[in-house]
Amino acid sequence: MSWAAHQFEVYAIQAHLPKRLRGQISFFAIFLGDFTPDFLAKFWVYGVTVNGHHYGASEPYRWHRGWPGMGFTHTLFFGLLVAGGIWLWKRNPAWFIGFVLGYAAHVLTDVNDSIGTMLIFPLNLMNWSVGTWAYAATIDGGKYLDAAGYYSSLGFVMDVFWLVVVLFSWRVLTREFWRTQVVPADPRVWAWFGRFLNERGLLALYRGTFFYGVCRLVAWTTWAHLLTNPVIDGVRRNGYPWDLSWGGPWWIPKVELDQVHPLIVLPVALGMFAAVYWAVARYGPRLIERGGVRTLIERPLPRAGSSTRPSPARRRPSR
Amino acid sequence: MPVDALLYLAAAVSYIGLGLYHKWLLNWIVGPLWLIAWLQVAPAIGRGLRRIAWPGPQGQEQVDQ
Repeated sequence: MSWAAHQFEVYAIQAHLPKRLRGQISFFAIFLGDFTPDFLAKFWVYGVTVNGHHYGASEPYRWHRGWPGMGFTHTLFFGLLVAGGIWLWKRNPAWFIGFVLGYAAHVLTDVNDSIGTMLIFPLNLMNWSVGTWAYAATIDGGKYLDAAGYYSSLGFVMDVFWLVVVLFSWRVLTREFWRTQVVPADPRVWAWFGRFLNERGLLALYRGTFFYGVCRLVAWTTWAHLLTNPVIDGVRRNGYPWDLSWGGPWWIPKVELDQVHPLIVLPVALGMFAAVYWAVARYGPRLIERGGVRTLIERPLPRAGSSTRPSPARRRPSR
Repeated sequence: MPVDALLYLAAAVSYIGLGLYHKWLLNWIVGPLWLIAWLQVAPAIGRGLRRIAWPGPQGQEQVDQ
């Protein structure tokens, strides 16, 4: 699985939307699309231990990405299904497109670990994996070993890669970008949050996922390599050993499911993402023209001069 | 702007520092909320402290600045 990469890719998508869709795709929808697969599948992967009894998946990797299991949540098919539900519910192109893009990014990023995702579910139940790093969620190791494995392998490089992508697109994090391209796509949702937060707080809300990604990357990497002394193969070590080789780290038992050959996976995964992006660029503007920019919160915005209390953002502008 | 940058830095350092030893803090809900709390609460505390330090109309001017 990927860690902070999922936080960074939200901003990478936001920064690289097709030209004609800039300022028209909901940031919250991209975030929700990227976040939904793990929200649905991951809680049972680590499980919980109560009074010495572990409640959770007996085979975390199969539960997370396989079939039978919750692996269907990590498929483009399911993402389109949920996005279709959103469309039927609100006919909101800003949310529909944003959700699809976020979901596709998550599903396609996750082909990098040794389990991968069922890319062409339900047509085929095989997992598609490039095997860049070892899937490390286990019952005994829980979240800690998973983090240690990920941040000792090429998973760490993946997080840094996405971080660099966002930093090269640094304007996406600026107040100007937020004002001109993020808020206009979702005016009512931001107005609703504006009832509780001033502009400084709203901007923090927008940047919060990036902030969390950076912090978890730094914190887990620091912990794994500087603050813990694991015993590996009977030897106590100062920190988990780095292993930036393909499929690493060596000290995690690598788990796999029935898989498509990695040489086929990479071009297909990239092709699928390109296809999603192309479809969005091609048909997105038409959807937007037909639907206009709408939002999931349908309460009307207060009119100028009305007696409605102005938002804190208006009352107390940030300096 | 420098004030905001300091607030973001303080939020990051405190979150990472605490998160290293209390890993339950490192999740997608607490992370963004931590930042929002710093950006909303710290300035409010600053304004409150300035009101205490400079009471009266002159103090209000200081707070407003």
